[in-house]
Amino acid sequence: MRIKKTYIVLTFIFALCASFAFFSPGKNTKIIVPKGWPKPLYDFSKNPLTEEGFKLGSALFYDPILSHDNTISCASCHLPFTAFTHADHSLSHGIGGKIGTRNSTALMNLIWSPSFMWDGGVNNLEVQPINPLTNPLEMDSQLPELVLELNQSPKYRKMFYRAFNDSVITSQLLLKALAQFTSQLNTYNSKYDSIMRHEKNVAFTASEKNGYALFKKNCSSCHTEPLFTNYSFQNNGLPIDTFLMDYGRMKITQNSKDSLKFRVPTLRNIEFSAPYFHDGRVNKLKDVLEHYTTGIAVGPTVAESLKSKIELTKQEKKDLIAFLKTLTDKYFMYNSRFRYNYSEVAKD
Amino acid sequence: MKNTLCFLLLAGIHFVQAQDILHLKFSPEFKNAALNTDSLYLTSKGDSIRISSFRMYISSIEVIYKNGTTFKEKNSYHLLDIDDISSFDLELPASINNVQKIVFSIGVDSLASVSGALGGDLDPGKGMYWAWQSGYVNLKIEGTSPSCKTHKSEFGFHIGGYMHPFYALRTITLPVANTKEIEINIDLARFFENIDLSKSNSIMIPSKEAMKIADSCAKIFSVK
Repeated sequence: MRIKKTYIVLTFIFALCASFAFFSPGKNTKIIVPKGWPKPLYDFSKNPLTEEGFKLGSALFYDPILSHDNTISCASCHLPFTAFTHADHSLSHGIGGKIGTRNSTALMNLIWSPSFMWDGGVNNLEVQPINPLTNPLEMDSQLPELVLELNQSPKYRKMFYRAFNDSVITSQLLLKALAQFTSQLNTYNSKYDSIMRHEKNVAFTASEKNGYALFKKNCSSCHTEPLFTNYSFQNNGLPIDTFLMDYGRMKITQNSKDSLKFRVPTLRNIEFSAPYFHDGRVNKLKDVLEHYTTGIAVGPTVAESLKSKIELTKQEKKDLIAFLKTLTDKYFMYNSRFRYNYSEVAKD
Repeated sequence: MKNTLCFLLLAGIHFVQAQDILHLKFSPEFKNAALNTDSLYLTSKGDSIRISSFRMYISSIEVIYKNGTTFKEKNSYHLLDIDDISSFDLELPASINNVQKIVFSIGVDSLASVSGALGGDLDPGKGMYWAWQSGYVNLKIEGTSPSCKTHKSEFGFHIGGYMHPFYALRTITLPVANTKEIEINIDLARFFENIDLSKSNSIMIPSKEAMKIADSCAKIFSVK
């Protein structure tokens, strides 16, 4: 009798261990670092990527449950079709038609970024979502209430359990789950990349080639290859919007030397990420070039590289834009893995 | 089977009992009165105040012994909150004999401030995290005073910042007598000693002014 009991207990313990092993996150998701690129700054050791984590992050990213009145999701302002930014909206929109103060940024290659937001106020990819989640002009949620709501969802409890071996959802796990998704939004398969990798049957046209030369001469000191940003904060000579009165980086550092400085954005997929600049004030690439050639307001903090006038002929502008379009990565833009319902489609 | 389980259980209890527990008890006060959110207090500048919220991080606790050895608490971050008075009583698995000094910090260090989403007392949903400028609020005091010409006569001090030149963390060293329980007073009267609430009543960002207040935060502690 006693032996039988012991067997039952042992079998039970064994079954318990086995079920843990079954659901334990498999380390089956790898991040690719293209040759010649720097090492990613995001610390994956504290959030090892898994397919279950990615599916969960993707489900959360597209779910309006994250907003206070369940009307908008992350994807409302970060659409996959437009390199994860909000096309046609200069300033991002929140719940109840509220309008924010800055242009939503394109979400790409975030694991290489040392800071986040236009003013660099956020220091880690994982804590960035707290801003849109809690900003009253955006999703207007409170983390404790949101966590409570997610814990009431059998679907999410199951998904969190599969991703993190824990069905008790906390704000820490919510943020780690979102990072499982956003850390994988990486783009490195544009025409430009193919050419740099010396792949067969791909070459710049004469116009693109000339554009690349012009880019290297006039733009690359800030929009440095291969990420097309050096992640610095610069005043690119945009006159201040007198309604928004946004002084950018100075709000974070309290230092007047940072007045009107904003984080240099990447130029990858720029063909689709309009509108441009921190307040989305222009819609077309030709208008961006118009600003850099004729619109620079030379104030005390303006970028050194913009103090002397950039001159481009009409043809040179066309060439430069032709080059910029070679930064479009169709594998990234049309990747079904990044789309809505991936977690449903990819059910195991 | 049953016997084995009982043995394991008793052994476990014995093991826990064998460990020393050093009690570190913080007592929030205003002058010599216990601090609560109902009472009216008078600051040395002559402002009458009510405190509605008082929360602070105590971190990196170290116990230094007379023989030169040191106990350092692992993962040492504690959120003390006046709404949960039990949060002011800490227990350290440290020896209670021959304690000479206790060292701790007010606030959260820069390493934790850049480490992404954390849990427990460092959960960013605890109301002590700045979203737009990553980092923790080290100490938060909110309340009302007729001296404040503000909305609903409110004042609020959110003291924090982990980056130079606005690094708000302050480390405190207090000599203690040899005892099983170390009781440390937190006297908020000292916090308000240099604050004229009619002029200074709102600090919400890491700044020069916040650094001055961080300095005065270091003076609110004393051993009973």
